Formats: sequence, structure tokens, C-alpha cells
Amino acid sequence: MDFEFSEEQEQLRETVRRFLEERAPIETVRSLLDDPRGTTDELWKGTVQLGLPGLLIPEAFGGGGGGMLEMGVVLEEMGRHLHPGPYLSSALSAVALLRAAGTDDARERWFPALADGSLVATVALFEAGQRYEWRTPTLRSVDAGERCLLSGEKSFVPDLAAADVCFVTAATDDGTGIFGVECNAAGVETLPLPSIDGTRHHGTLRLDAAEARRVDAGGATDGIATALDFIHVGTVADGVGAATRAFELALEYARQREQFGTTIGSFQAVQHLLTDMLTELELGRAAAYYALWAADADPDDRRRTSILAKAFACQAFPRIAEDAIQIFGGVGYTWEYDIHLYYKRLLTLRHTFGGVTESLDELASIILD
Amino acid sequence: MDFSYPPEAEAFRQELRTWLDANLDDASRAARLDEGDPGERLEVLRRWNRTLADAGYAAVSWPSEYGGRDAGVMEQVVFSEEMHRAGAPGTVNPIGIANIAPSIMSWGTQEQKSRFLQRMLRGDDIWCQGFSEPGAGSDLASLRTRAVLDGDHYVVDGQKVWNTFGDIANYCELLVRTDPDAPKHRGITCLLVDMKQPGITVRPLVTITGEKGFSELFFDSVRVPVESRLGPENEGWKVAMTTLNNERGGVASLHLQVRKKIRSLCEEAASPELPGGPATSDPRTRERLAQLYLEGETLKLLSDRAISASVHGRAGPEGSLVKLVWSRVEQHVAELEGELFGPEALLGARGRRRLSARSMTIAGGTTQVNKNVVAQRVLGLPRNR
Repeated sequence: MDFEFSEEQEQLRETVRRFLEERAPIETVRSLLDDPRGTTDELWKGTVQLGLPGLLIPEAFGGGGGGMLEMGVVLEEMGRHLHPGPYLSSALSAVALLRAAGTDDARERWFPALADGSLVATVALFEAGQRYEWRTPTLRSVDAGERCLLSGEKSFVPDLAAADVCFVTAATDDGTGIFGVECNAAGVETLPLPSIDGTRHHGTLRLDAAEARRVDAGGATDGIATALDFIHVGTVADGVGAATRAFELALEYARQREQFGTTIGSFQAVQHLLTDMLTELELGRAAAYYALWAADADPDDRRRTSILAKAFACQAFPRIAEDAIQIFGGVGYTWEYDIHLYYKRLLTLRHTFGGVTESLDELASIILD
Repeated sequence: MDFSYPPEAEAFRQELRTWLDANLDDASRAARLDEGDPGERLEVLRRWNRTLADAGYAAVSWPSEYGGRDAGVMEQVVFSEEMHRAGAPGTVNPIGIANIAPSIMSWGTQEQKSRFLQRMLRGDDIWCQGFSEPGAGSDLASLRTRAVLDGDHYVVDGQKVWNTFGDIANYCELLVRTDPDAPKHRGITCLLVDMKQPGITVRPLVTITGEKGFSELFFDSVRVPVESRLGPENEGWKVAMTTLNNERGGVASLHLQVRKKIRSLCEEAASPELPGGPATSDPRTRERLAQLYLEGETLKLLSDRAISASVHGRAGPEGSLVKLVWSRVEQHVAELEGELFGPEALLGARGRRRLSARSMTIAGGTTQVNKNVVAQRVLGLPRNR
């Protein structure tokens, strides 16, 4: 029974942590809150120097050949440091979609540039007014010889402003397909979609007969579902980092804040709240780490473990941040203190790529049907 | 990460599975269930206990010099899993083996060890703990049962409550106050008391379900020889707090039973026998079952993390959280079972299960006391006033 990260994985964690502490401390994160790219060329270059964008890409394409455990370690650190920017979208979501549904051709076309970080990609799966329904896109593709033309709109596209390429799901004559769209091509319009969470940027993608290249070989639905398994696990790993830090901040505050002539951490009501937070955190951490492992090591159990982690984290992690705000009291409600940033990050986890209801529904189908 | 078990644990699994196939009889398996004449059941369980002891399976975590097999955490986990899988009853003496024996091994005289441990292991003697009192529950150290030295005997007067096995035990690990003037933790002494002697009255305690589950013990000038003292006088608190360091496998296996209940509940919910027909087409029931399943599975994963921390020497909080979570899940199972069965939830075994679930967050340390302990020992917060 080895539920521990390996020494190499812990070293990777240490490297990423040092990079983020030095190059993207909370002041940097705050300075990027209103920047729709959420990153700078220098910061992105830093992740490239560490070989992070290609972590999941096979070595044959210039990637790191790593797995989800390595990806999870990186994302947990990014969540812990509220790191904005397109890392998850490009290095995980886009890569997972290409791996799960892309043709050899598509992988050869995009993997090398994604691996060396010269290309930033994201995925556009959802449409406005559809909650999290991704199986039935209304955005359509029309065949135009070698290429296709896409028209329609995608909503809640993560990191759209930072992306060079967007992998878009569209209705085709043979079911749902995936298409690569260059974000600066004719007929492509990207609009920011400012949400309460400034550490996670989203956009609206409007396509009007935009040229696109088919990624899949038909019947992409299963592949998209598989990619979503990986995306869920990754976003939950990010959530583990953010929730852990929110918990630590609340604990530190409870230790030093004095009221009624003593530290508030000596009050039983506060102690029990912190214990509850720790309990939820450790349950969620266990679910997340196991799902990271199973994502690669036990494909037959991947759907169950990823949705389990997602369903738990979506409920528990924002609650941890809510309780943390409660422990901070009045200052927790101010812009000045950082705790709200963690709450917002965790609300994004809760409300993107599937909600609590959808996750429980899916879990129910797995165990009951 | 690697969730396979080490080869020696798997070898142990095979050995135990083969042994259980050959030795576990229907009578023993049936005696595990809470049905039939209690006296007959106890005799069947004692016989099964002796069979376990002869094969070295009655107390696998004990050192081999006392008849255990030095089982590490993983072997303890395998043991729990295989016994659960086979539906085999455990020892008749779980309190003695898990809680009292470690204290005797660390604090006992050679004479006490040879006199008690073998018989405890074989279920020849059944042991209970005389700890809680009407005025000393969560605040155990405020106990008031008195022992006064009179020549070579202590004379014990007082009352104990919540004794599991008080009705069948012939020995008791008893905590008494020997120095009423010392700070409360420092005036306590531990005695190993023969229950079959004058002055001890055992009265059944009727619980919330209307059944006799525990006992009250009354001590009226009971004479206990000095050589039955375990550890030094006035150091009984330390003695009582002794547990085996590697006794982690037990807590880490709590999820086995509760997850089985959750699986059964999912099956019952889908059954046409369910009052009102199968509930698995009802979206609300589906969501609640999924939520319960989520609780059970995350409990298992938390337990696995606790085992891993123990095996790899990582200081982690998981082990301290398992009981808190497990007790909550047990109660949620009982609640959802009630919801599924409507008015029938009030009847028979189902009704009793609903009631007995309340004990989970009280027995073995209330949830509130456990939270204090986690806050202070794991999170390092100051003691509250």
C-alpha cells in the first residue's frame, strides 16, 4: 500500500514550488487579476524552461513523457499559489483531448509545438445556456474541401485570451467532431468573459465561417468523455492545492488573532471548525491522489475515480474556503486579505467542467445502473 | 504510488484464505449474527476462538512470544479483509486483545503475563474494562471509584458504567483512584480484578434500543490483592493509555463493514421488494445514494492514506480522522435506510439499527472530544478552557 508520491515526484513539486514562490508570488498573481491572458511572456517562458507544458506529451514529440501523478503535483502547486495563466488548459486539457480523440496526424501537427511551449492551446466544449452539456454542440461545421468552416459560439472557454489554438467541439454530419481553430484566423472573435475569479480567465469564442482543421477521425464523443476524466482530475488536483493553502491560512490566523484576551484558536467552536475543514481536506486529497493514480494505472476505473474526486471536491473544497473566510471574520470579507482569492478559485472548480448535480448524477449511473 | 500489497501480505492472504476455507464452519459463521440464544452463541464463538488461537490467528498483531504473529499493518489489513470476506467472527475477547493486552505486555509482571495473556488469547477468560463512571465519561480522569490499601489488599468501592462484556467477563481492567489529593491524572491506579468474587454486582444497562447491551458494575468493599495491580500505584492513567503502536490496521479497516452496508442499500433501493417499488428511478434517491457512496469511498481512501502513512513513516493526520468520518458515515447510512423504507423504518431490526447508529459518535470517544484532540494534537492549537 503505497499512497505516497515518489521521490522524483516530490522533487518536481519542490522545483515548481520554488519557481512559483520566486517568480509568481501573490503580488504577481494580484497584478494579473485583470489581465485576460493571466500570464506574461516571461512567466510562460519560465514554465517552458522547467519542461512543464510538454509534461504529458510523449518523448517522441519532444515532451516529458510524464503521467497524471506528475501533472497532479504541478497542478497542486499551481492551485496552492493561485497561479493564473493557461497551463492547465494547454498542458492538460488540450493534450488530453488530442491524446484521447486526436488522429495521428493531429498529434504530429500540434504536439511538438505544445511540448516546447511555442504554442498555447485550450479547449472549447461548452455553449452558453447549456450548463455543462457537451455532448450536443449547436456550433456547426461545414465541409469545405481540405478544411472545414465553423460557425457558432462557445462559452466559458478557459484561457481563451492566452491561446493560439482552440480545440472546438462541433456538430458534423457524422456526429460530434473536434476541430482546431487558430485564434487569430479570419472569422474568429474572442471576447473576455470576466467572472468573479480573476485567477482563472475565460472567454467567449465566436466563429463565423472560420477555417478549422479536423482533429478526430469521427465519433469523438467517447474521446471527449475520456479527456474530461483527465481534466476533472487535474482541476481537482489544482483544488487540493488551493484548499490546502486556504486551510493553512485560516489555521495560521486562528493561532495569532486575539480576541477576548486570547487567541481565537483556543476557542472550541473555532477548533472544531478547523478540524472539520481538515477532515474534508484530507478526504478530498485522498480521492484526488487516487484518481491521479488511476487515471493512468487503472483505465477501467478512471471514470469512476475521476467523477468521485470531482463530486467530492466540488462540494468540499469551496466549503473549506467558506469556513476559512468565517475564521478570518471581517477581514476575510475584504479585498486586502488573500483568502477570497482561494474561495474564488475553488468556486471556479465547482462551477466549470461539470457541477455537483451532474457529477452525482454520473456517479449514480455508475453505481446503480 | 502503488496500491498492490507487498508479496508477504499476499502470501499471508492466501494462507489465511485456505485456512478459513478449511476451518470456518457454518455454526461459527452463524454465531456472528445477533440471533439465537446468547449463551449457546457464546459457546460456539469460544470454540471458534480456540480454533483461531491454535492457528495463531486470534491476535495477529501480538508479538509471537505471546502467541501472535507480529503482523505489521499490511498483514493486519489483510487479516481484516479476509475475515470480512469469509464472514468469519473475530475473537470473543476483542477488548482484552486490542486494548488490555498491550498494557499487560508493557506494564505487567512476568507472573501477570503468563497468568493472563494465554487465557485471554484463547478466550478462556473474557475481559472487560472498568473505565467510565456515571460522573466520568468524556472526562475519564475525573473518575471517583476508590481503592484504599489495607495490608496486602486494595479495598475498592464505587460504580462503573458502559462495560462492554460486563455480563460475561471474568476479569476487568479497572481504573481506581488511589490518591484523592493528587492532580486528577496522577492519582489513578490500574487493577486487574477477578469479577467472580463477593462485593461485585453486575447489572445490565438497558440501552436506547430497549435491549441489554452494556453493564453497570458496582463495587462494594471488594478486596483486590496488591499483586493484581498493573504498573505502579498512581500511574494507572499511563497504563490505561498504552496501546500497541502498530494497532492501526483495525481502525483502517472500519470502512469494510460500512461500505458493505452502502452496497446493500444500493441493491435494496433497486429492488422491487422496496415499499413503493424500486427507488433508483427517483432522481433524489439516486443523488442521495451517490452522495452516500461518495462518503463511503472517500472514507476508504482516507483509511488507505492512513495505512500508507503508517507503513512509510509519514506523519499524517489521516489516522486521527478515520473514526470521526466513519461514525458520521454509519449514521448517514442509517438515515438513508430509514428514508428508503418509509414507515417500515420504525420496525424491528431496521428500527433498532437506526437507534444504535447514534452510539457511533459517542462510544470510543465522542466526536466532540475527538475534535478537541485533533485540534490540539494534530493542529497544535492551545487547550481550550
